[in-house]
Amino acid sequence: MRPILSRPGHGALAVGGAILLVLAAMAALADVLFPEDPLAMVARPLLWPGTAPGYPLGTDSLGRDIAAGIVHGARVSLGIGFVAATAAVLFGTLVGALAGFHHGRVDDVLMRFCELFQAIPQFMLAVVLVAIFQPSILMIVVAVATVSWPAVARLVRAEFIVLRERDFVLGCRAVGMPEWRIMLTQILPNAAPTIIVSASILVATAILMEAALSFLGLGDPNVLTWGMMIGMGRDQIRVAWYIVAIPGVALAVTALGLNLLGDGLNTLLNPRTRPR
Amino acid sequence: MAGERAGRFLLRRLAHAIVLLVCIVVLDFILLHMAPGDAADAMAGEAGTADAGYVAQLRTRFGLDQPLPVQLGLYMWRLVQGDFGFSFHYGEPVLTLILERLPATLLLMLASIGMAVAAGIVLGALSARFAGSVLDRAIGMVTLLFYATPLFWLGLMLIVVFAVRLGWLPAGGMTDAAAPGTGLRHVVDVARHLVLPALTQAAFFLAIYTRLVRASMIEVYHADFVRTARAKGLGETRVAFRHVLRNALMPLITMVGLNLGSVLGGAVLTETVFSWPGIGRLMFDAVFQRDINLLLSILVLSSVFVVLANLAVDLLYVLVDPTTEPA
Repeated sequence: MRPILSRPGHGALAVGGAILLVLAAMAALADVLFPEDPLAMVARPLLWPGTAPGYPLGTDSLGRDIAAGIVHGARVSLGIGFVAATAAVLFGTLVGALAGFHHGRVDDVLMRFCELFQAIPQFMLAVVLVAIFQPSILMIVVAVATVSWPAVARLVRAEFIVLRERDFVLGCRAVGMPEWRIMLTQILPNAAPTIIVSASILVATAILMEAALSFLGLGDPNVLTWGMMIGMGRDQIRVAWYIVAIPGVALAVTALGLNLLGDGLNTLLNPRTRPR
Repeated sequence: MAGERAGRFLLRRLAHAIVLLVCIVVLDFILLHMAPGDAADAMAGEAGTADAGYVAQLRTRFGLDQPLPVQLGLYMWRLVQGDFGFSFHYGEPVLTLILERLPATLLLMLASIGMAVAAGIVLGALSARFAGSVLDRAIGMVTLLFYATPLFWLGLMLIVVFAVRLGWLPAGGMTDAAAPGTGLRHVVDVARHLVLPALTQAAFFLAIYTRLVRASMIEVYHADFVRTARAKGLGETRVAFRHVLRNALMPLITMVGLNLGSVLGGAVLTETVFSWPGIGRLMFDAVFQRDINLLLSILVLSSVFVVLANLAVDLLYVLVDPTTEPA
């Protein structure tokens, strides 16, 4: 037997999973590790990382602890990412399932609706939505979910189109099972691997999009996020680039972890790439 | 026969695009109405008066007191005529403002897509040719990193390294205001300013294209005609480039078309980071001037651009492959 990590998919899954576990722990323990408000000014401004005891990642131009910002920011980033991705997956699955299962007119209308959202530049639409309705966590979640669901809908539709012609589905129809039950109990479980893989990638996209909105100043002003930290550190980039660099690394590592997890799951769950 | 079929296909795509454009305008109209305050409020505000009589007069003048469907009709009619309204902040018609900024954005898009496609093809082809090797894994790792890196952050880091530390390239803008040049000097000046924003924008798409080219080339490698080519005694390099790559390019063309919207969205970030005077930067400014009309006009025109560009991709498809049928 080969060691677990050398099997295709397992390595990516293990690394991605480990990164996410660490982040989840950070998010859960934020109040214990750094009980102070991360927006509070606690020390001399512009302390470089590693130069002052108690502030391993240094302080920003207002004397806020960057380590506290990173840990508290993990909570917001992961939270928004997961909630927005869940909303997009649920809505996208609903639309994709209905379109793929029914075909014909229902499919036509739903797919035109889907195309509408794909023709509009996603990030621009997110910017407009947040700008019109005032930045808040809820609005950011809504905006990110609004621009993310069509990709899921297309994937799910493709799965449903293939699966609805399979013998076990035809069998269910023959014995008179209601359509909603066929969709929910027969086809959906078979489409689940695809949905799970796309969900993990979607969380990463959602986190990056939230960060980009916050960076532009369209984040919720009451909570500190990684994107906001980058945006606020921009003015000091010539003298204190670490203020921008550190939250960016946190973002990239998070997105990398989620993508590795997606890749690993894909290798394991997708029959075409599954190792034999 | 093939020509007739291609013509029908294009006509269908055209009808499709028109429906899509109408839907985009309707969605835009809905958003405009959900925004707090209407055009009359904005104009009265800019004029520095809150006189109710004046506002009501403006509403009548612009048809804002009409029922919603009539307003939608008026709105569409104005857009068809190219009337996107007036930006009081800039003192110019919105369409003029956007068209003025369009070339800068197009230049950035062209440069970044060009870079991403070229590098994506080379890296993807190498990855596919040596699938499973150390090289393949290294390319895979690099592309995964690019894919996960927030592009606005990558842009800032490139500024730190190449503009602040090394001083090789300018940190922002499109031309050197201190030393304006003409002719070749101007071209070189713009090119120097273009390098960092184009690289920033290209990184993310490079990752997508590399993975796509790799996957489709590996699929084509298993096709019968490739076995035939090898059986004829063609060298591996020739097989890779003349046969496999050529056939693997169609998905890439589709993907580039599909990505145009994302490239435009990314331009909002790249242009903000590098003070690049394009549409993205204009959108960022419009957000903070609360210029909702300008904001939505940029969204509509960008969407129109994406729809038209995808129509062009369809046309390209027909030219390359006359048997094209809609998927």
